[in-house]
Amino acid sequence: MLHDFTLGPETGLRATLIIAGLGLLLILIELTVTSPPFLGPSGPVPWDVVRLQARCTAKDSPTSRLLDRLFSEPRWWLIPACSFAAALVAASVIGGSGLYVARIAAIPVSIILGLLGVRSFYGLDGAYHMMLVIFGSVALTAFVPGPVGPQLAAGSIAVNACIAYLVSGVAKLASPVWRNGQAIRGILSTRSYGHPAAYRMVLSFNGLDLTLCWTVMIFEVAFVVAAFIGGLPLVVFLGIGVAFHLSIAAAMGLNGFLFAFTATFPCVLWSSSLLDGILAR
Amino acid sequence: MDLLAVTATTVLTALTFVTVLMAWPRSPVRHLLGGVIVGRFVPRWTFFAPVPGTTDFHVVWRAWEKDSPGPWREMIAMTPQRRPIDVLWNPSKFSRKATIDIALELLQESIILNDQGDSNAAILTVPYILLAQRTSREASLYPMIEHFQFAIVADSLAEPSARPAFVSRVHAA
Repeated sequence: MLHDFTLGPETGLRATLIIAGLGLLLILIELTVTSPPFLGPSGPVPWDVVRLQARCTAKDSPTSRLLDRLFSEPRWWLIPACSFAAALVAASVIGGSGLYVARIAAIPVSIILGLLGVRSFYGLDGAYHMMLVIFGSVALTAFVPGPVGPQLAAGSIAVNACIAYLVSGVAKLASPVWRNGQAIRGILSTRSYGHPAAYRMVLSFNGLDLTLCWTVMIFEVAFVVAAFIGGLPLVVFLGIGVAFHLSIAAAMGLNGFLFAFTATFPCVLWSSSLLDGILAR
Repeated sequence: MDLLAVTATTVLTALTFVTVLMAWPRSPVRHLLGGVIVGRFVPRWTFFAPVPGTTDFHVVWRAWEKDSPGPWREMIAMTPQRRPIDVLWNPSKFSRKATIDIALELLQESIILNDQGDSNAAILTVPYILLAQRTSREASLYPMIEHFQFAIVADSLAEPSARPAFVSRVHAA
């Protein structure tokens, strides 16, 4: 399998679901244990105010009354959500029909992610959106029979991962503060996403901020190129990607991104080998 | 090809296409979906770009007694401190991010309302109400306080002196 750097769609999807499932479990447990509960009435985003953002939730209706009940105690749905995420990971690990069970489990997981977005987008980040892409792709193809279902899901995840990195890289390349190196220095100077030691290091070494900015931009834009090249270069590139997200988790506290984005890598590996096969013909 | 497969392919392709269109700053799709709740589910993928966040936002409040303001106090729970363990376990990231999201939205809406000549309408925006309600809850811990005011201040390691980005009206506790 990996000795020729290819991965079957089912193996790729299993690996993606295990990594994403573990990441989702982490996020859900983090949300459940915050004190006061982040999504509770005493938290920073109480439902009685957040609901005013949309007409459909602001006005009195059967839907809004149902949401009121559901969101009055977040643990009512966060704890079952953790169970679904755990079941999905377990099913993905088991051989045979486990993947089919995991694909079905992606449906309630996607619904819960949707509920989370309705409850409050304040506080959610790109890791949430990538989780939505992963589990949404799997959920939408859950009942597609045969090998086509996993292939569609894996392909969708891979394409969206490439788009994510490409858009991120191009947006940075278009920004003067990224091109001149100021961006990373500025981000590291914040307490929210920065790191005092990393900030001091960037100030101490001349040109380090510029190097880091261009490294990030080139990595992100090159992601889709690496996916087309495939083989060993892609495997090495994805290894660099894991290190990239690990360093972001360490420096910026974005631990959710580590799981959400690296989870897409097995699907990218499979899609690349599929593309290789198509082009070889 | 199976009907389910065709349907799934169509839906996934359409969603991916919408994601790509949302990435363009002046696209009609972004204009259409930007202000509605459904649009928030579409990823933008422009992380820290084109304008990266380079300031910290803190929410502070003060009591008013007989037309005299008291000292500013920070709502520390809204911007929890970072810890080394955050690389593995980071439940406080939600509060931190929520404070940034609320502050940015309030600042953006204030600018828009100011341009429209309707700056007073800021008190009707969701981020303003969120912060006012939160401040009211803090103030309620001090029974003698009759009026309060909140503000958003910005700073960073590069510019440590806090500067006010938004100051609210004075409200009854």
